[in-house]
Amino acid sequence: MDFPKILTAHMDDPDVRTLEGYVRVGGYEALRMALQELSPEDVLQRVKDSGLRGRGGAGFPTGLKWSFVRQAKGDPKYVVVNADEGEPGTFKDRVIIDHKPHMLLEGTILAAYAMGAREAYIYLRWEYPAQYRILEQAIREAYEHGYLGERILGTAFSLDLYLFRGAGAYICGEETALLESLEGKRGEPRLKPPFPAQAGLYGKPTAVNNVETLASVPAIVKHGPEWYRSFGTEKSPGTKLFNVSGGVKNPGTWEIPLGSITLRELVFDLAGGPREGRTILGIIPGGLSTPILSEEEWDTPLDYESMAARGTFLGAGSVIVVDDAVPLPTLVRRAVEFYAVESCSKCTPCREGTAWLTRMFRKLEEVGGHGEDRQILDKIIRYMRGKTFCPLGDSAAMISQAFLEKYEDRLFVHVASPGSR
Amino acid sequence: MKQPTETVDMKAFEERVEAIRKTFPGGRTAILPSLLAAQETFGYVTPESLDVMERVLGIPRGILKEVGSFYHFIDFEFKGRHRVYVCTNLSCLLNGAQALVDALREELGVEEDQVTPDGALSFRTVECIGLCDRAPAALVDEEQLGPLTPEALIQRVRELRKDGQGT
Repeated sequence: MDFPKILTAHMDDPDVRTLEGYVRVGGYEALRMALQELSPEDVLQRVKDSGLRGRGGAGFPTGLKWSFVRQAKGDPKYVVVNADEGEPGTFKDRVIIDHKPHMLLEGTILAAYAMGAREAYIYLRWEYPAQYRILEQAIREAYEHGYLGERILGTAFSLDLYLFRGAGAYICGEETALLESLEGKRGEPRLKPPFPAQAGLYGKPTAVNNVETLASVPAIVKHGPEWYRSFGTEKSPGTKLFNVSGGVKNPGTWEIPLGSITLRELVFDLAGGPREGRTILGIIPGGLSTPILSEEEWDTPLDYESMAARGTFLGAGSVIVVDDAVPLPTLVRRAVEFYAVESCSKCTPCREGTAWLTRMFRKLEEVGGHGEDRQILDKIIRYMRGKTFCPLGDSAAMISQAFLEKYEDRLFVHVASPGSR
Repeated sequence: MKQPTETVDMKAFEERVEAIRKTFPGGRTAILPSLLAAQETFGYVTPESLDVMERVLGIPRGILKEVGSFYHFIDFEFKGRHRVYVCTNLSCLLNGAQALVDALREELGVEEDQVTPDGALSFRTVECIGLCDRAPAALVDEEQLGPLTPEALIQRVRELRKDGQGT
């Protein structure tokens, strides 16, 4: 299968990491053109017309988000890059930063230009130390060559970009928790509305965009929305990075036009399928927080709508292949434990619910389950779904439900009479 | 562990917090970078470093601790000269993360989050560190390692303990 390379173009060339190398392959041409020939409205219109949807997981139309920020009353405005890639199974933003940090910077500068922001922040997770140094270096180069700072490329547009390091908290990938963290607080989510577009960083209009989203922008501005729409589907235009990891022969990253292949093709044809002597039990399509798909569901195309129709999400495109290398009860317990560890503890259904889910699945893992356990689990899930402050608790309940519904046999496999151990 | 240079470190640290305050003016945004700077300089957020942050940032230590304690990678007590963070989330679990944890426990003779008697290091299991294509993976201080075998991890740990001798 031969796919167009937009995000991954020239990634095999290590020089592209430097500003010089990036410029040599056409980098910063979109920015130069935008600043010299296009108005901010033109840039915004191109992104809007491209149909680009947020690549962090939610899939919200990027151009629409930007137009909210642009129209919002309040000054200054901010662009915040969400590089707090913490969804288990996700490493696509790391790949972008590792190979083409300037593509991210160019997209960020274009976003700021389109929305009239003078300051931008990159919130990078602590767990990416090498990427911190890469971005530090890239930002320094961009300042030195006049792509950042006062009067960019000799125009009237100016932008300062700050690199900010997280300190370890999954919840800070949620945009309002990220903003809290950036304001020097505990990373607890805010009540929405108001949305960050109205009242974000320091209460000012703010666009929080994922790394991959912004990295997609230079090509859209340069080649135009029609060109971008020639890839992908009507409702999910363009290409997207997919990460495959877990119980699979060749883990890695692929750039794929949305909807062009199925989940099964990605895992079996591109990532090599099952490991020697192992059986794939299920595939988590979009990062840990997206419900697992069992074998009869693997022929689903990789786009937002098709995945939603299956009751799951394309999410961040982070495919975790679950095979039988680890007993399923252990794997599910470990999966829900993640949410108990990462819950910010602000709201009760999440704080208590994730702890109880972990406790119940640990029971299934250690001493097996009996009939009543299923009812208790269902009840915990019912008390959590739709009742938590942010999607973290909801995700824990949702994935638990999918595991229970699709793998009841395996989860309750060592059913013993109560107290037999 | 670094007594001879402690005052020098403190002075350099104060200058660093001052620079952070200038980069992120107006309010509390400087807190997290300053806490991380303290950890980088002293190995953990020491009481003395909190004194400096209180003074330079004008923010009481209660708030500094309230904020810092929210995040997994900020420590307010000594956790060894080196730290090993082993990912045990799904992709690493499916690729043998438990064997890494077992090997560390046996080699170091300590449980998770306990410091070895020589003060060299501690280990901790952590959530996804974004190295799923290199599973099983770990962070050793700020070094991203993977795919790891138990043998390779233990060898790295032994090197670190050797480095620490005589300080």
